[in-house]
Amino acid sequence: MKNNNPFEQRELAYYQNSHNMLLILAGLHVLVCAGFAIFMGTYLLFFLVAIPAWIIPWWVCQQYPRDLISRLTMAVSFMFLTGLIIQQTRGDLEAHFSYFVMLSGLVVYCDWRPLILATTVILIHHVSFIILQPLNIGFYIFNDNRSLWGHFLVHGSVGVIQTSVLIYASNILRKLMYASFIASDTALQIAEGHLDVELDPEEVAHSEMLMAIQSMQFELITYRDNLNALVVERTKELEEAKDIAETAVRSKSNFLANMSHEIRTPMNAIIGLSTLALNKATNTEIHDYLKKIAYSSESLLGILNDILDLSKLESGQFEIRYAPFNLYHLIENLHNLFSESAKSKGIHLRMPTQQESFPYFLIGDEMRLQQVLANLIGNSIKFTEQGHIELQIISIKQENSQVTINFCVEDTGIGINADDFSILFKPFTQVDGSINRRFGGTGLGLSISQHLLYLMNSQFHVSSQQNQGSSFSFQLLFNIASTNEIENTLINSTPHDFGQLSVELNKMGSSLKNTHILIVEDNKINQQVISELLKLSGIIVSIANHGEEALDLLEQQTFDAILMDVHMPIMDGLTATQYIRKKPQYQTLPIIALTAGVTEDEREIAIKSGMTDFIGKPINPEKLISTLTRHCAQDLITAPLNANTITSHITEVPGISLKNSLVMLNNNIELYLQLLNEALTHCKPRLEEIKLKAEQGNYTESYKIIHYIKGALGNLGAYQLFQAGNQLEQDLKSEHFNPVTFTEFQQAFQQLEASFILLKQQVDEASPSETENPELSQQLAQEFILMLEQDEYISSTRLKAFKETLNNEQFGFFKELEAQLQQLNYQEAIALMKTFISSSH
Amino acid sequence: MKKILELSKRQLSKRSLVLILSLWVMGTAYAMWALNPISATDVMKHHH
Repeated sequence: MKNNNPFEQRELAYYQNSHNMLLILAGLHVLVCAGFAIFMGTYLLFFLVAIPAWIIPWWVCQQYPRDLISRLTMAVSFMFLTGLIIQQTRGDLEAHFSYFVMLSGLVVYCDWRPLILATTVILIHHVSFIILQPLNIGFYIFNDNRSLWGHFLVHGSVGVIQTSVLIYASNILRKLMYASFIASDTALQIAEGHLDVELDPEEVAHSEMLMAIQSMQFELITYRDNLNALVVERTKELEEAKDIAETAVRSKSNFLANMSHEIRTPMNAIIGLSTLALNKATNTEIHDYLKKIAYSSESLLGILNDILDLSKLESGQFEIRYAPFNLYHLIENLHNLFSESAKSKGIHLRMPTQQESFPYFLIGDEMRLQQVLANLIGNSIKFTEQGHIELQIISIKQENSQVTINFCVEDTGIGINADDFSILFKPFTQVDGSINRRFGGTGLGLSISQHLLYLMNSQFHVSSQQNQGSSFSFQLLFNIASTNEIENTLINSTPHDFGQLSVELNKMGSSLKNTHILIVEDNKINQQVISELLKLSGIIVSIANHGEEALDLLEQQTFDAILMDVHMPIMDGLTATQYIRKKPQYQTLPIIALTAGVTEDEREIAIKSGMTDFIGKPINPEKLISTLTRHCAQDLITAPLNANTITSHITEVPGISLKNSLVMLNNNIELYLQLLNEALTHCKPRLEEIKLKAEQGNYTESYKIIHYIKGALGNLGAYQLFQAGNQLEQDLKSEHFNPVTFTEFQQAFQQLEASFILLKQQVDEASPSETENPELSQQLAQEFILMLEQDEYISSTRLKAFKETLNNEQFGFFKELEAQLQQLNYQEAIALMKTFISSSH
Repeated sequence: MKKILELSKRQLSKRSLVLILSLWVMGTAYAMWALNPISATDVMKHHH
């Protein structure tokens, strides 16, 4: 048989089935032979012929099921059995049926060879028994009228015709079988997705079944090709649609960024200027107007922030920031925010007290939690006319370092109809259209809050009854923070009272006094707002209109930090920062981005270009000062040395490196002396403390004091004290107090005091007499009075010009004037100026 | 029975197979010839 037959497995199964069927047929004949053996006593024939005629083909079929030899063996064995039966019945006519049955059985092999062999075997059998043993077989069936050859011809031709017909039939069966093999195999391959399976054209030509399968295959291929083309087309369409959608999203995002920038810039001016104006307004009516402007602009900013928040939430750009915070501070903030408005409506606002048992120090997004709670409380106040509003905070489950806290805001307000719950959280909607007219608001708050809770893995539970009240609650899972973590990260931010700003900033920014900061900003109003805010903290301010100007100024002067707007004409902030960072001496100079752009992208770009930090507009004065404090406090002592001039009249005094300090202060010797005086007065009483604490064994505290003094005076060029301080610090670090080092430190301090007196004398002597101009000073003083009366700002350059027209005796007056102006006491300044004019006459 | 089935499946060489089959065919032919139960007498009796 062909070895490369593609249907080997199927062929094997087919032949095995055929063998089994034929062996059953042979078995039946063996049983018949057994019957003959019993009735005729032919046991020997049964055992020697019939039994082996079954065992031998069975055995060969076991060994070579697919080989021709098994089929041939089966044919021979069939003919032995048939011959045996014919022989024992003396050639009975019915006995010949067994021959026809067995020969037909061989057709299942679909092979002509077994049929031919079987015919040959039976021919030999008959011939041998007729010719070689003529009398031994029964011829009773033979008609007497017929000769031996006549019998032979009739008997033989029947056999030959029978064999020919069966060979023809087996051929048809073979073709059908192969066609069905190919058909089922092809159908299986097509079903597995191999549509391109190839069919033998010759086989196909002979089988209708294969033709049908092939036309089905062609149809499927056409469908597939069409489908592929369709998919390509649709994908292209989808990609185009996606591009359009992405462009739209980008435009939306750009629009938002631009809108935020465009709106925030004027908002910056409104909030900043109204805040500043509040400090100067003396008229109560105007003060009230300004206060309202400030509040309104703050609330407008709130709405703007809400819209930005919502769009960021919807586009998935929003991130929850986890940091340690104190929940009690948050409650306090909320109380401060809402107690007034609740009181004014006559509603009782109940907040949890510190006695209640839930963990305060948590890790979470404090700002967003406050936003959600503030929104709920704000809504409650808005919709409650009488009764109470209560914020309940309950710790539900506490495990290891995690706690689940339930927040609930309950009110006795107008309530919500159950049918309206579904639209409660939809943006820009309010339950009743008339609510907007009655109560105002954008309808964004709850939608944002819901988004925020979703980001924090929580959601609102609302229960409400119309005219009875509502309760909004949600649960949040927090990690509990250690007290240490809290202390390290907490920046205390309490909302300031308008009008108290100058006092607060002065307090907050005390460590920034006399630092020199460059503002790079193109908008004139913003320049004014920022510089005045900074001046409230005693900061010295220089202004550049754009990046290039900033670079020029950096060549001439030294700054402690730069506040850099991002978007500017001529040279923008990012480019300027990159130029600045290229210079080795400015590697660590704090550059703080100042921009109305508030998206994460803009922040990232700013930080990438080398900026140190980021302050969003409108500028929150406290944030401005706290950011500056954070970045400038460390940098004073390492300020670069590149001044070109130094006050020539002054000679160096022991213990002080005057050159460095004066460069830092823009050569302002008076300012330097003032600072030194303050530092010395402030530090002197603490000297004894160092010794006291060290002797008590509190080395850490002692170290802190020494570090403070060293830092404060070291900044002012007191290098001897700085070195002595270093030595003392080393000792204290190793928990050891050396009286000798301490004495050296004390001596350095005393030396510094002596040097201060020396220096002051020198300065007093070196009068600016060359520039003294009494006429000009009169003129300028009168001009200043006019300006101050109109609450106009006197620039530092003008003040400096005025100072240069004065003589030594007038120096005290100038110092006093400067101090009053710095504290914005314009009325006092005017009085001083008037005295000055009259005394000069 | 299982063992017999297993043994039956152990393939012999083609030569031994052909030898065994030849012996079988010749043996059977001789047996059929020699042990034919129908005698000439019977046939003749029947015939007449």
